Amino acid sequence: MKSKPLYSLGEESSNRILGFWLFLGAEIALFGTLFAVYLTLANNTGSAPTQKELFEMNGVMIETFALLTSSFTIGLVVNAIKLNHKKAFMSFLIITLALGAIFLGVEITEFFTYVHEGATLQSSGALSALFVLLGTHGAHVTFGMFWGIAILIQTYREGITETTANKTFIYSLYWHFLDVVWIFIFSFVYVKGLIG
Amino acid sequence: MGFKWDHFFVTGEPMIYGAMVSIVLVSLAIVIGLTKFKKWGYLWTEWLTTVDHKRIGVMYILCALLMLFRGGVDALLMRAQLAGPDLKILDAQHYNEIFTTHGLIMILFMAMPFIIGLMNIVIPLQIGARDVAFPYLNAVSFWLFFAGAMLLNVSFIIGGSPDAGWTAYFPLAGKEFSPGVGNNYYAIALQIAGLGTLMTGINFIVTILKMRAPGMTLMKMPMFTWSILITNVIILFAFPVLTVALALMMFDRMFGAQFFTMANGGMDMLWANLFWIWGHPEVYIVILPAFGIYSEIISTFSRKNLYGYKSMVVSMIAISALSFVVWVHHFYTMGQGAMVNGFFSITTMAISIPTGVKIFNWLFTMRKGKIEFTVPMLYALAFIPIFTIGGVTGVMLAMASADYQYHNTMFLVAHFHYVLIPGTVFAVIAGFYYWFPKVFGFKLDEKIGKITFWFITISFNVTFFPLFILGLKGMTRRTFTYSAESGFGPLNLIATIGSIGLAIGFILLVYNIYYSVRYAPRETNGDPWNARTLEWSTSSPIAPYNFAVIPTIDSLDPFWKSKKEGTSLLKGKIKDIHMPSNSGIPFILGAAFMAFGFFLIFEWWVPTIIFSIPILICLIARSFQRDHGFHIHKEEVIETEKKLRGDQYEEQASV
Amino acid sequence: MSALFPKQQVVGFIQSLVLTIIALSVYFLDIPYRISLMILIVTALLQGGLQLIVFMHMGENEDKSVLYLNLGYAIFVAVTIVFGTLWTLLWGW
Repeated sequence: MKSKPLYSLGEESSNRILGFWLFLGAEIALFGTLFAVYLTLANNTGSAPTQKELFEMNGVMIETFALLTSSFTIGLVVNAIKLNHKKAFMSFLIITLALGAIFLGVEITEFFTYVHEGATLQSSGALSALFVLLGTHGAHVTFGMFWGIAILIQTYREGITETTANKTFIYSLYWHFLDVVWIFIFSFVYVKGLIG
Repeated sequence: MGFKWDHFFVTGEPMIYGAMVSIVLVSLAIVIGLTKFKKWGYLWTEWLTTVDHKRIGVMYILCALLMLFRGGVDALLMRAQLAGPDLKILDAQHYNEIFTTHGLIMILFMAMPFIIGLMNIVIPLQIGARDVAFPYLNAVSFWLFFAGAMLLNVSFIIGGSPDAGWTAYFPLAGKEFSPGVGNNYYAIALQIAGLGTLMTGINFIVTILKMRAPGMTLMKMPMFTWSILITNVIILFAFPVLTVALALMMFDRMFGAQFFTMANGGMDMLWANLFWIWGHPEVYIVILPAFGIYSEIISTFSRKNLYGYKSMVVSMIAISALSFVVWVHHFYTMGQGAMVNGFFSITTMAISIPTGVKIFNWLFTMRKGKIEFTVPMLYALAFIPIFTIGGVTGVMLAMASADYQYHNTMFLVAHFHYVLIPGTVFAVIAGFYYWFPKVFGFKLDEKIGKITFWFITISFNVTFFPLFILGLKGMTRRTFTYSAESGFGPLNLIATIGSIGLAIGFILLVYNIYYSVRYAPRETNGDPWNARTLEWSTSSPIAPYNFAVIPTIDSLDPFWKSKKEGTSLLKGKIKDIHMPSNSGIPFILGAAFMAFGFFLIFEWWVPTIIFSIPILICLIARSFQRDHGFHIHKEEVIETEKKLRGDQYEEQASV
Repeated sequence: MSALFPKQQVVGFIQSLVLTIIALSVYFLDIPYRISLMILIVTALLQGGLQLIVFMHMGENEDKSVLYLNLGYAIFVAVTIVFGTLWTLLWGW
């Protein structure tokens, strides 16, 4: 007889998880809209640099593997909850956040490079759409960094309880979702832009 | 640096000066009154920090009534200006601001909060729950709505209202053609309020799916609950599109982006596309709850089960799905080709079918029923034929080729008022009369209510029917005047006379509240209408925990069944009841968003960044908070039940 | 020690790496445009599904039918928005 995991033990815990899944549904609509805007304006490059000129595959690959691996490590954090292993929990969460920081570092550098090359939010419709799509995802990752630090502190202080387990599981859903969005960005913005 | 100080206060308009003075005086009166009667503590602990769905619902509806007044005044001003040719009551700029705010206020700050207020009060009671799934989040939703509403409402005296229509099409709504602060208010106030609405969507879906009383399967829920479940699903998926659209508008206007510009690769039509992808589901968000309210009222006052329960559910699900594939009908004339227009004509005509099914179900519910002509029932009866006029004119507009004649004429204005007013407005008024005694323990006066009903219903038709004819004669919408030669004068005058009748009707509505507070007999039994669903099994006023014992149900209309069979719904022992704690954070968060939003609107970046800090602090505080609520001990519950129910206490519950 | 690295998660991680490499290959191997797009769509959808089922434990949730419905509706809305917008504004006639 399989018992319920610690993170969804009570009624309130499972309600919070359901609520968050619904929020992710709304986020799918949000990012869907941003993709629609980007794909509509992608060729409207005006007199500004084009995506093919700007994109650097190396940075994209680092970002992709960082985020992918961090999605793996946050899964190890949730697994650590099931094992009630606080040290593993903390270690894997710190690694996850470190990988997130690497992702953000590369992305911020990427943006500065674009601006340096004369491609800004204001340069063309295509670039406005690119910056807002990538920037929204990046802002979500940044928010996730702060959220992750809060969870790190709370679990360090309180241990793995029903409350911290539930919050961590929900955080992991968020983090996985951002990885899924990145997969679509990587495929249909970067790779498509470079082969186009 | 943003806008300069000389753009701050709106100058040069006597009516606006008058408004500024009244706002200052009213605010002073409120502050002085609260201080004199020592009510600040009461206000804080009982209302500003509440997480109780009933109190939150009352606050939403109070705001909605105030906004109804404001939107109504906008309408009266427009009708005064259009009463005759070449009048000079309002100049073009002022007229543009007024029709813009009229639309924004009526849809987003009157209809939405009224509906959300009713859903807040009624849903937990109808499903036999003690509160919504996330009471704290519910409070946040309200205060974000309030912040957005306040921001939009100060715009006409501070900086200038948005003036590009409630639809804010580009390029008019862009920086080049609307350089002032007005459309910044649009982008930011709507964004903040929209966040609150999205949270409401999540809250009520979880509440309805997870917190129903034992035995209440999905197909045993009241129809109002079904309508709210489906409405919140639409909210969940439609509002993110608005979030994106408004953010892109903000980037274009404030940060020089090129989303909707006419050069450098922008696409102005993209705005209209995104706006209506949200905007069409939005109109179904405001009409489905109305359908739910009518289902409750018609069933109750025909003394019959609702006819065709399953098809009512299926039709609403169909409407929700179809509502996402019809949006282009709002801009058939914008230049996309005939194939696109043809596709959307078909989907638009298709969406009228499930609504038709519902109309027949309501008629069959009434057939062979014992009709009681109470005030709520009168509104429901008027809704059926009048809304149908709105609906069939919608099918006329649905045909893209024909729409080239009707689009943006007064015919369109008449169509949407014929669906919105008999649909949404009549429903929220009916719902207000219907559920008022549940919350406050006395009915609104029936006689005044009936006079109000007739004033509103007749005046509505006098106001809006001529607009169909004016549209067919060629009068365009959103025009601040017309010439005598056009021949539009006489029908416009009739419409204006009708609008005066509507104004009288709404004054009577408000007067009824005052009159009933003073003179209406207080009911003690909680079931003034002899109704059918669970909310009527509670006392009036309602205990803070709603139900002393969570009822177990086994059929539709469980309260009706329990009355007919003489059984009690409340079987079981009274135990300690767990309640969520009040919190001041939602209020502070709302205030912080209001300040943040205000400075963002004026593009004063430093204060904007400063006010993002309290927002972050509120989020962090909430994350670290470990308040798990408190318990009402069972002795106190028993005391409360005895006090509220008097003699019926013994029949209703066992210890 | 191996309990800290459950097999399902490790296998899933490797699968997502493989799918990413396949997606990257359309760039490095200069695959023709249309086929590239097909490959990208398939790999993206597979990776998305992988995340949802294996990593996010969608199938283990007590409310999984609601979750699937939610996901289905969300995808329907997102696809409608993307292709509806592109058709109306760019491709349609």
